Amino acid sequence: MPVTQEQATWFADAFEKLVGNVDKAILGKSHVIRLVLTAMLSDGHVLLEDFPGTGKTVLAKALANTLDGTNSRIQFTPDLLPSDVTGVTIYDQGKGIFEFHQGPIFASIVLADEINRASPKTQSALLEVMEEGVVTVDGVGHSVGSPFMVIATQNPVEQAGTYTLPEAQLDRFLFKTSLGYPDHKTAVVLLMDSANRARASKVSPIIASDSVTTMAQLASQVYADESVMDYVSRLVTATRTHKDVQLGVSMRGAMALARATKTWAIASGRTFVTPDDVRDLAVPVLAHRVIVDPESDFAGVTAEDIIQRILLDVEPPAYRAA
Amino acid sequence: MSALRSPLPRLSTTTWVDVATLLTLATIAMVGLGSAFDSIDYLLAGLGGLVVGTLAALAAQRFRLGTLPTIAVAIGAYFVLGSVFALPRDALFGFLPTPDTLASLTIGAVFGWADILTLRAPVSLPDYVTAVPYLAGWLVAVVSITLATRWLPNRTRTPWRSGLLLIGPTLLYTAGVLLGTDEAYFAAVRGVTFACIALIWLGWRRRDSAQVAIAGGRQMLRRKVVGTAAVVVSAAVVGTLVGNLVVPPEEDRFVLRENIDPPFEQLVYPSPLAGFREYTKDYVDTTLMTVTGLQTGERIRLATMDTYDGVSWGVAGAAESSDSSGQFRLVGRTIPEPPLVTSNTESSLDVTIAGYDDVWIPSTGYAEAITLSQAQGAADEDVRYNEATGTAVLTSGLASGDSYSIGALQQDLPAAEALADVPVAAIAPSAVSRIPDPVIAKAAEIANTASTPYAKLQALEQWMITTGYLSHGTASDQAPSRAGHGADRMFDMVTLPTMVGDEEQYASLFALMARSLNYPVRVVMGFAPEAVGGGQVSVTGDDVTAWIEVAFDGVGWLPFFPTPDETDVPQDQVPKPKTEPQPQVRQPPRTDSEPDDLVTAVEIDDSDDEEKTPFVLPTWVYIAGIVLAIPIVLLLIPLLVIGALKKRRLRRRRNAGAGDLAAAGAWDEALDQYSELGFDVPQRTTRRHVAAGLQDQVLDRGVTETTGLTVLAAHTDDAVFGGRDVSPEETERVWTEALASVAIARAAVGRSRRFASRFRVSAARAWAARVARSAASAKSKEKP
Repeated sequence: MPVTQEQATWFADAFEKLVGNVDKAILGKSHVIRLVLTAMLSDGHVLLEDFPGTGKTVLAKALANTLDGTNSRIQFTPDLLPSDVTGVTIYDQGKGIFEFHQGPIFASIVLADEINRASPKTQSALLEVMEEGVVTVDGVGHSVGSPFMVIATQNPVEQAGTYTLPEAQLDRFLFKTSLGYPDHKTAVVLLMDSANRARASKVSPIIASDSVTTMAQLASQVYADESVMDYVSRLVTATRTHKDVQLGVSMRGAMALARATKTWAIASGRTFVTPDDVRDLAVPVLAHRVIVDPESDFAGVTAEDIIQRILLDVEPPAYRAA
Repeated sequence: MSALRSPLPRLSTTTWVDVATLLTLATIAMVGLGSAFDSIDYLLAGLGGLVVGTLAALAAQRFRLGTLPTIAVAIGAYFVLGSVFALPRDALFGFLPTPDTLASLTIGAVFGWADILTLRAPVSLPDYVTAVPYLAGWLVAVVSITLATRWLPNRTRTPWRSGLLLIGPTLLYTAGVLLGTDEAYFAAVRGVTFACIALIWLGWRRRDSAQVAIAGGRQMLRRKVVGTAAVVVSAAVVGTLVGNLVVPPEEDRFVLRENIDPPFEQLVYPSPLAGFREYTKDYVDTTLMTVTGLQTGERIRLATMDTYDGVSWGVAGAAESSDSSGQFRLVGRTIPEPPLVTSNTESSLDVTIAGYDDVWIPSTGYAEAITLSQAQGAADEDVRYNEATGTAVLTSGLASGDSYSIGALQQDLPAAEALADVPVAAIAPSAVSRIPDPVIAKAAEIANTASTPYAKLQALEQWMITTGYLSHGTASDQAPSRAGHGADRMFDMVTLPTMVGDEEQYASLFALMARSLNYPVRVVMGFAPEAVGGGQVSVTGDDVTAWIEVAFDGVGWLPFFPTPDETDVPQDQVPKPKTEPQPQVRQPPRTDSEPDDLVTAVEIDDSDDEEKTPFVLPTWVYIAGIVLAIPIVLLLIPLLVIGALKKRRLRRRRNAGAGDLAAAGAWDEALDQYSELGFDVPQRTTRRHVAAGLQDQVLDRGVTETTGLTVLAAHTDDAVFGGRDVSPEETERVWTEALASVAIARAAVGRSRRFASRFRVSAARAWAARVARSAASAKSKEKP
C-alpha cells in the first residue's frame, strides 16, 4: 500500500519535532541528528567516530531520552566479557531453576561507548543482536524487542589497546558518521551554559516506542522508482571496480542504502525516493563499507573521497526507467 | 655513446606508420606540380625522388651514420639514381648515368626552378626541368624520414614535434601551388585529403603522447582517435562546403609564374611602327626576305602594337599588359592556342632572311610551331611568342641567312552581314592615352552614321579611303607627308583640309578613332607582298604596310585596311582670303569669356545620352548591397536553422507521450535554454544540484528574483520518480514554470548574451563540455 501525501506530511512533521527535541541537547548538529533518527526509523544502527569530547555520548543519551523507551549504556573495555553485554543465566536457588538475567543490550537505545576498546570476542557478541534483534544465551533466544538501536562510538586517535572493528561488524552499521566540533557561535552558547553538566537530561520523551515502529513501518513503504534503485546499484557496482578500492560495498550495504533513502525521503515529506536522497546518504552509508587499497590509503585517499568521486562519475537518472 | 653501440636499431610500427603517412602526404603534394608540366614524367621523377630520399634516410638510420655521412649517402643516391627517374631518355640504356645526365641533374637543381616559372606552361623544354620535382621529392624525403626515424622516436611525442615533420610535405604542397599555373589541380580533393590525413595523424600522435600510463586506455584511445576523426571529417565537410562558396575565382589564385616578369622585355626594342618610313625610304628596293608558301592575299605580320602614349604605338610591356596584349613567353616545341581566333585555314611558311635585321620574326596568322632550321647563334630557347597577338620574337635578332618555317592558323574573315549583330569582344583594353580631341570628335561624328560596331568601323574605313590621300613623303611623292604618328600628326590628319599620310598614319588614326569608341583595337605592322598561290616571293621594303585589327566577340581579331590608294593630291585650290579693309572701330572692352572648347565631342554626347538612358542604379549600389547582404545572409541562415531546430526540440519534448517524459522534457528544455544563455549548467548531477548551481549563477548577476528552478526541480522529480501517472494539467504546470524560469534568466543576462543564445545549441555546448572534461580526466589520470 503506497504512502499517501498526508501520511508523508505527518511523518515529516513528527521527524522535525524529534530533530528539534534532540537539538536542544546538542546544538547545531541537526544533520547528524537527522542521520541518526533516519537510522533509527530504518531499523539500523549508527557508528559515531569522533574525537573525545565532541558530544557523542550526549547525542546518544538525548536520542534515548526523546524516545519513551528504555535505554542503556555499555562502556567497552578490554576486559569486558560477552556476558556483560548480553546477560547471563544464573541458577535461582529459591526457585531451583536457571534464570536469564538480561544484560544492558536489552533496551530500546543502546549506547556502546568506545566499542573498539573491547576484545573481538565481546564485539562479536553484538553481531547477532544487531543483525537479528535476538540474543542467544545457552541455546535460548531472547528477543530484544522493538525499537532497537545501537549507537556505537569510537575514538579514532587512541590506537593503543584498541581492536579495530572487523569488516563484518562495520557492515552491520547503517551509518558511520561524525559530529565534529561545534562552530564558534554554538560553542559560545554552550560555554554560557557550562554549569549544566547533564544537557541530555533536558530532553523529555515526546514519542512512544509504538509510534517509532509505526513510522518505521511507514518509511519502508515509500515508493522507490526502478531508475533510482538502478542508480543505487550502479553506485555500489562502481565502488567494487574503483581502482583505489580493495573491497567494495556488499549487497547488504546496497540494501541498507535503499532502506535508508526511503526514510530520508519521507522525512522530507515526500512519498517517493529521488536520486538526491541517494546522493545525500551515499557517503554515511557506503564509506565505512569500503576498504581502501593500502597503497592509495598511504597516498592519503580516504573512503569518503572515493565515494564522492564515484558520485561525480556515476550519472544520476533523469527519467523514469523505460 | 654506449647506447649507440647496442644492436642495430629496429624501427617500431609507429615509426613505419609515420614514414608511410609522410610519404603519402608528400605524394599528394607532389601531384600538385602537375599543372606546370606537360607529361607524366614529372610525377615519375618526383616519386622517384621520394623513393631515393627515403631509401637514403633509412639506410643512414640502419647503419647509424652521422650527419656528414648521411648527407654524403643522400647526395650520392641523388646522382646515381637520378638518371633513371628524372632523365630516363638521356640515360645510357635508360638507367645508367652519363656525364650529360649528371650535368643535367646539377643544372636542373640550380636553374630548373627559375625555368619552370619563366617557361610557358606546360613545360617540356629544357630536359633538365624534371630534375626539379626529383630534387624536391628527394630533399623532403631525406629530411622528413630522417627526422621521423631518428629524431622523433627518441623524444617525448608532442603534437608540436610531430607537426614539425609535416613542414616538409607542407612546403612541397605549397611549392606545387606556387610553381603551378592558375589552373588548380583537384585543389579541393587534394587539399582536404592532405589536411585530413595530417590532422588525423597528429591526433593519433597526440593519443600516443598521452598513452604513457593509462590503465584501460584502450577505450580512451578509441574515443580520441574517433573523436579526432569526427572533428576532422566534420571540419572537412564544412570546409569543403564553405570553401566552395567563398573560393576565389581561379584567376585570383596566387602563383609565382604570374608574378614573375619574363626575361624578354619588348620595351627595350623600339616600336617597329616608328621605323615604318625606314622601309619606304631606305629599303624600298632591298630584298628583305624570301618567303615560300604565302597564299594570295595573305600578309606577313611583323609586330602587333596596342598601346599608345601620344608619341607612338608600342608593344605592351609586361607592366601595362592586358588580356588583349598577351605576354611574350618562352615556348616549348608546340605553341599554345591563341585565346581568341576562329580559323579553318592553316598555312605554312618558309622564310629566309635577307636584308631584314630585327628581333621581330616575320610570320603569318597565329603561329602553331616555329622551327629554326638555320640560325646563327640562336637556339629554340631564344624564341619568345605572344599567342594573344601572334607575334614572335627572336631575342638574339634575325640576320641575313637565317631561315625558319612556321605553321600558322589564319583568322577566318566572315562576311559583313554575318557580323552585323556581333559585338566587339569584351577584353580589358590596353593603355591608350592622349588621343587628340578632334580625333575623338571626328570618330564620333562618323560612327554616328552607323549602328553596329562593324558598320561603324566600316564607315571609318570608308571615310579614310575616300577622303584621304596616300603619300610616303618621299621626294617623288606629290604631297608632303610628315613621318611619325604622334598626337600632333594625328591632330593634323583630321584638322588639315587634306588628309595625307601612309599606312603608318592611317592605321594609327584608325586605331585611335576605334579606341575612342571603346573598341579593342591594335595596330599590326607587316608586309603585303604580291604573293601568287604559295610560290616563292621576295619581300622588299616597298611591301611594308600596316593595318589595324579589332576584336569581335567569339570571332577573333578582324583586319581593317583604311589606307587610301589615291596618291595625287588635289592642288590647294582654296584661295587665300582677301583682306578686306574694315573701318576702324573702337574695340569693345575685353571681357572674360568662357574659354571655348568647341572640339570636345564628349560633351555633345553626354547631353544626348543623359536624356536617352533610363535611370539606372549605379554599380556601387549593387556592390554595396551585396557586400552588406552577404554577412546578413551568413548571419540569418544559421539563425533560421538553429531557430527551427530549437523549435522542433521544444515541440518534441512537450509532446513526448507519457506525462513524466513531458515533464522531464520541460526541465531539459529549461536547462538547454539556460545553457544557451551562457550559464554553466552542472553536468552529471541531480536536478536539485543543477537548480542550486544555476540559481547561484543568476543571483551573481544581481537579480534578486528567484528563478523558481528549485521548485521546478522538485516538481519534475515528483513527476518523474513519483511512480504515478502524471496528468496533462501537471505537465502543463511544469512547462509553465520552466518557461517562466527561463524568462527570468533571460532578463538577468545582458542583451549580447541573449543575442548570442540564438546562435547556441546546447547540445554542442554539452558536447564541448564533455570533451573538455574527458581531456581533463585523462590528464589527471596521467599523473601517477
